[in-house]
Amino acid sequence: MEYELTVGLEVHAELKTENKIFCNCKNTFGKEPNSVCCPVCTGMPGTLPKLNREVVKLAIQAGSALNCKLNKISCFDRKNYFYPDLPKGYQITQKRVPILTDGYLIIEGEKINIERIHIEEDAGKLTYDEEGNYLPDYNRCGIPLIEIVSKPDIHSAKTAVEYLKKLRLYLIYSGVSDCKMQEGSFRCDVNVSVKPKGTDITTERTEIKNASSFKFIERAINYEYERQISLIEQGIPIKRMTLKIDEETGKTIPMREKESSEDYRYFPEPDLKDLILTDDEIYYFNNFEFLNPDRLIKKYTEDIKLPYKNAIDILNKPVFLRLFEETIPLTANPQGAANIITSELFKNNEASLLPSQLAELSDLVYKEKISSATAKKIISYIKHTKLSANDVAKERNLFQINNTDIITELVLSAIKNNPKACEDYKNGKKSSIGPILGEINRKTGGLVNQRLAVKILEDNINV
Amino acid sequence: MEITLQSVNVLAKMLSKKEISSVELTNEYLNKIKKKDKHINSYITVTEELALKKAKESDERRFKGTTLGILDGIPYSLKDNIITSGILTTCASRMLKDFIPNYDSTVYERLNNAGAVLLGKNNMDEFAMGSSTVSSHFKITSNPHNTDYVAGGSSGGSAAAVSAGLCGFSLGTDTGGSIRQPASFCGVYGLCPTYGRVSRYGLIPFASSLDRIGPLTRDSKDLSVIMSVISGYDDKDETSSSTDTDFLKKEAIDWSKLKIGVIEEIASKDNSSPGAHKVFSSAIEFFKNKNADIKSYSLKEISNAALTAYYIISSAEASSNLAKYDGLNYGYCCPDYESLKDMYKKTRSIGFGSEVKKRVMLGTYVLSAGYAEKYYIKALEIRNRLTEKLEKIFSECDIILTPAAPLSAYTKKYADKAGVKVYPDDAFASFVNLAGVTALSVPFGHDLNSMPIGIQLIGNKFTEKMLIEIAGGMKDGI
Repeated sequence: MEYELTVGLEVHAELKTENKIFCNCKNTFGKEPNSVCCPVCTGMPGTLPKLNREVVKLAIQAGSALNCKLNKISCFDRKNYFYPDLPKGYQITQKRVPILTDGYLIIEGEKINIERIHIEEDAGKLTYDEEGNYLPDYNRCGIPLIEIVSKPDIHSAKTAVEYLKKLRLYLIYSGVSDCKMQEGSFRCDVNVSVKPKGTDITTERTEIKNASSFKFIERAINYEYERQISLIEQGIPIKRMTLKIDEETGKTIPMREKESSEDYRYFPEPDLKDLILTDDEIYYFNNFEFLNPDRLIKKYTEDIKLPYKNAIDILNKPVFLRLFEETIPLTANPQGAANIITSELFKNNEASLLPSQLAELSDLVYKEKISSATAKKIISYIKHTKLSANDVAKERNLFQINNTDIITELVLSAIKNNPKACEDYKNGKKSSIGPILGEINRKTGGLVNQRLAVKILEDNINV
Repeated sequence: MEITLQSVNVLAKMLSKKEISSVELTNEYLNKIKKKDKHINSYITVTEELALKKAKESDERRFKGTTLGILDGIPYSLKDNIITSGILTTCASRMLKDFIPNYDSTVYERLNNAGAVLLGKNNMDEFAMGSSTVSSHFKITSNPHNTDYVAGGSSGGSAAAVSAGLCGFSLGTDTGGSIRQPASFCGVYGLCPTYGRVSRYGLIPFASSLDRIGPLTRDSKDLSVIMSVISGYDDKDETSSSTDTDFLKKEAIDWSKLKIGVIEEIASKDNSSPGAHKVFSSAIEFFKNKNADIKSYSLKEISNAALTAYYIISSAEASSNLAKYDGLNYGYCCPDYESLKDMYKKTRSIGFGSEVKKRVMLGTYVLSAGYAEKYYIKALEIRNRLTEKLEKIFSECDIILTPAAPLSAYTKKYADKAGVKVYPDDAFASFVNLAGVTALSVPFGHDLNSMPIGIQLIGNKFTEKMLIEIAGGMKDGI
């Protein structure tokens, strides 16, 4: 019996606005508990919400980047439930008519459709003391969120994770969110359902919440897939459940406390007007420009011919992407620049070079004026400064020796000094070229052009 | 006339002519409250120290010539569901009996900026749910005309205080008649402004799409003065309207050109008490004598659907608005509980009175899955239909005339036992809130027991000025 996995993803991303969604509190993270809140976001009696229009702007950016349709008129609703992290006893969200619908992302050539994107407010955070008492922190109350709901078009754990990774990039590059999973500004809820392949049987879905990394999500989906298959084969009906991931075992386990099916008694939020977009906002949606991750990947892999992995690695670090983008027009060797970024600059996670410096460095390597190893050295001299790579190379005598006559002289001398190694090489032990090269490098402080040295060595060693 | 029963305009003139100081005037009220309010129970909290402080500041301004306006130095009271920073705001509920907010309501801020002097917070039905103050956690307010009778509700304390001369004016709130009915029962003027006219920021809500804050006064002209201070767009309240009206500018009424609508289902004798109907008929006579045009309309929703829709919608919104009272951060919390759910249950069972619990349960029920379509959605449809029909009537009429309530005040004994039997009292009033329009309760007569009865003038949105002018002209018809 073959089974089909269906995954639906609900992503909550915190918008990086200046202020919270319905009050003037600052939109921040990591402050002392209950130090960034006010009567409005803590829902004190008699207070009223007032929509921060910057939230609409960022939602529009996300929708435009994700190919959505924009609803000129959308509205707010109350989602009612009791929980200590929800001071009003209801969350203001958009249920009936969201601001955006019908978007998509292309994942490995497949179109994954986005059902809707809507605006809502975040709840607070709950922690507990040793006795199990609730310690609510309301700093997070009223942080603006967009919820992005995919259609159930995903049929493998791998695709699910690829979708999440790409969605995250789109949200970062459209300036909507910094999507830091560890800080909670990018949260994924995963709906998993399984049915026998080729049938129309609808089965219940389970929801996996609070995943802390993509790796765990992939494992959990696969585990849940197997778990549901096993239940189906035993004839046990799948119950709608909320699960969390046991990070040690990778298994999904039922969550305590929250009920699996709550009636939220949605009704229109009477304290807020309908969200009617202005002509300027609609124009902004239609003309929004941003660094599109797919277009960048295409440009990097097809035009610049970077290996896919390098392209993705740079894309995943916006600070380096910006550096790379600015370097491309300045260098004849963008591939080299990418290499320098991924092999050297990534180490300290700092874009410590200026585009002009990176371009120059890359060109020097390309023209074989310096070796890659030397490039590394030069970086340590010029980073966080305005110094030119070329000037430093000159001053410190770091240019490569490219003169074939000089190299030939060095080679012949090394051959003469290493008769045994030459013998071994002629007898088939190709690795014996190493020590001979080593002597040349010692004599020249490593500045001899390795490629030429090896070539001339090979040409002469058999003589 | 006793000074405490004077109108705001007269008091303002006396203050400006220095015939009396604000401190003296404030003391008049404070002393009268001390003497009389134990029989009436119109106040939950009296803010004596603050009042005298504000009065003194007012007198100082007057001395310096920097008087802020007509309301500078005028003592007033606020219904206790209006937030006042640093002062107990209880909503007449055990749930908030010790609640002292540290933020302000917009109306309180505006009255402060106008120099008015707060005397205290008025009694009400708990969380504004009720029409007699019988559901107040503290006490029931008595009608100053006869203390065996109720003052009405939910703004019973406000109406009684104004009627008995225990304040210069009061602000109450109206969700389904809660300003107009007590005003009628106590023989004072009560204005229910258009929805959005007065900012709701700082009004502890009962039903967010129906609630309005409005003035209760002894003279119709006072309503203009107070509205000129408290109304107007508020940035903090998205539902507040930016329609600007100069309430102080006179607007003459051409009585012979006035078109008055009367709703059959309300005007019928069978739907009011004999006293209410008698006074209503005399009002019709009054307008006929002024050569106004009177036309009859049928609005069948009034007979049943409108009131039901009102109870469904207001209870639904209330069930959500009152969800925040869970004992976790402020307000009453039951001291013994075994779990979070237990804390919620016990706190809300004990913290809320029976009327509030009834409405919260009703509201939760009509929003529940499987029932929302049948009740809540239907109620919204009725609301839309009613609003459209009223708009049509207003395209032909300037005002609609009705009794302010189907009856006059009843005894406190009856109120105690009546339960849901009093719900139909809102029949003449609640459809005004559903449609978003404005209405004014005008004292116009008495029943056989000499208890006051009022007439309700209903106007289209933002026509409060016209209603106030008409009310002024009706004085000679009483």
